[in-house]
Amino acid sequence: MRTGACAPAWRRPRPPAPATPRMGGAIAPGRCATFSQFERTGTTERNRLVDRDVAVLLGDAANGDHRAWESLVDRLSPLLWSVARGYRLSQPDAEDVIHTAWMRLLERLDRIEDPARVGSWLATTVRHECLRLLRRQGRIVLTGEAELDSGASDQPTPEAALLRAERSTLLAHAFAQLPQRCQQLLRMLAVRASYEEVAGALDMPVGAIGPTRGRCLQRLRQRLAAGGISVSRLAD
Amino acid sequence: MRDSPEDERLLDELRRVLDRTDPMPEQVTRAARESYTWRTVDAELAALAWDSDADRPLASVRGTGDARLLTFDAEGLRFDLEISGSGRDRRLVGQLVPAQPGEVELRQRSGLARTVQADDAGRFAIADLEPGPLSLCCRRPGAAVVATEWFLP
Repeated sequence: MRTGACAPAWRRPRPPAPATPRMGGAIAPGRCATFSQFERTGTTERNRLVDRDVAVLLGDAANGDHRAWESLVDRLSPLLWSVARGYRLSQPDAEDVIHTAWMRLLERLDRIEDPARVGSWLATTVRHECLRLLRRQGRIVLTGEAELDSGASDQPTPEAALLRAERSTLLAHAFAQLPQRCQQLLRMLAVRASYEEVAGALDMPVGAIGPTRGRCLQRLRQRLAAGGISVSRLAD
Repeated sequence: MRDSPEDERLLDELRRVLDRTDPMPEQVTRAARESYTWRTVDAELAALAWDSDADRPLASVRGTGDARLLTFDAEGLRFDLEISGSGRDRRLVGQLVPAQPGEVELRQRSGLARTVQADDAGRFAIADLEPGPLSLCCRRPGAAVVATEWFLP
């Protein structure tokens, strides 16, 4: 089991195993692996372990430890990517917004009130910057409750990329058909955001997340089933 | 609040699909990791106090020719900024308040600092801004270093 800056603290303790990813490709030396490699733990347990670890990393980074900063960036950037892309920002815009959020944290490294919740602090900062940018681009329309434009952007959607595996294609298409709110939520849950991080990123009360999650997964399953029926290959 | 195993499996599958259709580019983490060197421990932070963009009606789109006005405030020093142009032709015109000379450093993604001098009236200008977030840092003799919050112009 890998130790050091890239070790996922929230992984359940297991006998040492070779660090071979389940997905194709080797881990580049010095790089942290993607989330795809690791097993899913329950939400509550993951939060406890990750939050404590994140607080320690933040403290170390504030004390001048560059590697702790890098670990923090590696650990929380996938979450921020899910937020920015959930808001339909283009790839360059998403990169800029996420970089801005990290710099905002850097300038306040020793002044963060709740280090264990820095994930949700960052997710909230990304939301604010996304909305600011979308407003500048004229992509926000106020209709009583603020909504994001549902029209197709002139960027190809991430979900439009072609995949070899049929089931993956079905899932990608089914996901793309969900209301944007569901896509935003499920993107974050897919990278194991905590409910607090979701609340900050989507401006959603924590109590609403569980029920919304259930409804969105239900809709995803329905669309998967509907997509499966229209596929012409035989299901044995 | 434990997730059901079926939900967990579906979310795992979704993550794998998103990893392939929308992977996070390596430069996202690289840019942030490398930016640690920008940390200025003793700088006073000038917070965003006013943004002309925040005042516009939501549905209006700013024309590419319109300048954006921003004010950053710290105790004892204010930055009044005007950013105009678009793409790689953006420029920044600034004013230190109260009016005074000082060294103004532009900090951007690339890691290379560019420094200009504010004149006696506190005015300075910087052309050819890179895309992406930026911060200004002001050094004056006998005064604390003051840095604006990082922002995305």
